[in-house]
Amino acid sequence: MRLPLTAVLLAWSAATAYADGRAATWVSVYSDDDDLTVVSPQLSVRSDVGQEVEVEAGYDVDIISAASIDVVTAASPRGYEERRHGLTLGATWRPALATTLSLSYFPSWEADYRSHGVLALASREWIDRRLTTAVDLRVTLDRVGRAGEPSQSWRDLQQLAVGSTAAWVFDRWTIGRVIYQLTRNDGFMASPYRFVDVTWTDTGMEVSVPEAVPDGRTRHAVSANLRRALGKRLFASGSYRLYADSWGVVSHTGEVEVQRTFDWDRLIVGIGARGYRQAAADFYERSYQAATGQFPELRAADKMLAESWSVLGSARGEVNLGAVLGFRALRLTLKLEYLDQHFIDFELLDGRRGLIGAMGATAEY
Amino acid sequence: MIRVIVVAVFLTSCGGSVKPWQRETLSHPCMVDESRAEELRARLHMLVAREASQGAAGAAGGGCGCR
Repeated sequence: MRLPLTAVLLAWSAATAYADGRAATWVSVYSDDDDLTVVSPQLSVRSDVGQEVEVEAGYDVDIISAASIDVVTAASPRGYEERRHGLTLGATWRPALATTLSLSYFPSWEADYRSHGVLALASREWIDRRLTTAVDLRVTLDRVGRAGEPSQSWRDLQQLAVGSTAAWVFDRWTIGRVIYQLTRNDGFMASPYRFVDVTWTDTGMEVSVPEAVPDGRTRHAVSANLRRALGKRLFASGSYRLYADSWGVVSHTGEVEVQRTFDWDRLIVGIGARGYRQAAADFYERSYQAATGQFPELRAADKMLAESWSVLGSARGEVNLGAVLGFRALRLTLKLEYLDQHFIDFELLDGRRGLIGAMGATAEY
Repeated sequence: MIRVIVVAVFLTSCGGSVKPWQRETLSHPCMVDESRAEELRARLHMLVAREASQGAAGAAGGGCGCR
């Protein structure tokens, strides 16, 4: 992978040597009381190539260290450590002021997962640029296996997602947006590491069998967002999302954020809150029972399929340093979030509390 | 046809017109997601790994008409 990456970077630097653009880095660290730590640095660069074309490249890593009780029992005696790498390569073409077409390719890889994804997006502004409509199509082809096993034994998972967006400028202070996304997954969606305990009712014997979930899943998600400037220095936004899928999972997500600027926009301070609640999948049970020698056709030991709710609180600060170090503008951001997640019907874990600390820098040149 | 006209009239009359020189507030970093793309991508990535729901999170973006 190093050679293609180097070639991409060389081509990138040649194509964008004298162009305007933006470079950004973001590092987040997630740590919770369930012994899960994830460090996620990412870097992205965007540059104009001529008047109508913009190219983008990005690289991100997840460094995961886990010793959660359900991971310890399902995957390995002492938990695990792994890394996920991801790339993004994309181009945006603006053939007219109000029209945008973009295409991006985003592969990712880790010891037990390979993914190749393509995203195509078309958007157009209408009615004096007050209405923006967009459609996007996302296709991913994944391979799922167990680390160390030959890739011939890995299984396929495909995803096709179609999204549509309508955004409306109500007045000079208010923007509203509605998004609908339809997603279809086909293939292997269980965890190759997870086993489900089944109790045989007449003997009381407990046996462990691999997780088994449906091969297909259709997901619907619709969200509405309203953003408004409350004066020159105060901004507020609120959003709601409804999600439902063919596995019976239904969820509601609500989110609000307030931001205030100081010192002529050199400093932005914001606080936010997010609430989430989901119903369990139809086939999910806290514990499975069957007649001797039998197993439930569908069975899962995944806490993400259990009934759950969570709250997330966040605080962030952003400083605009202006033109420094040869850049046209340099911004630094610091963010702290607290996640409190509760699993209503999951035998091994009733919840977890996590802290997410993040910082980033964005340079325009 | 009547429905189309009604919708068009509603859309063009809702809130009055917003001229290009009146879009300064709409293009403020607090009003557009593009200025926080990496931050929002990281957050979405974190949440998708912890919840069964996904989608309609704003990939298409845009909307301020201030580009």
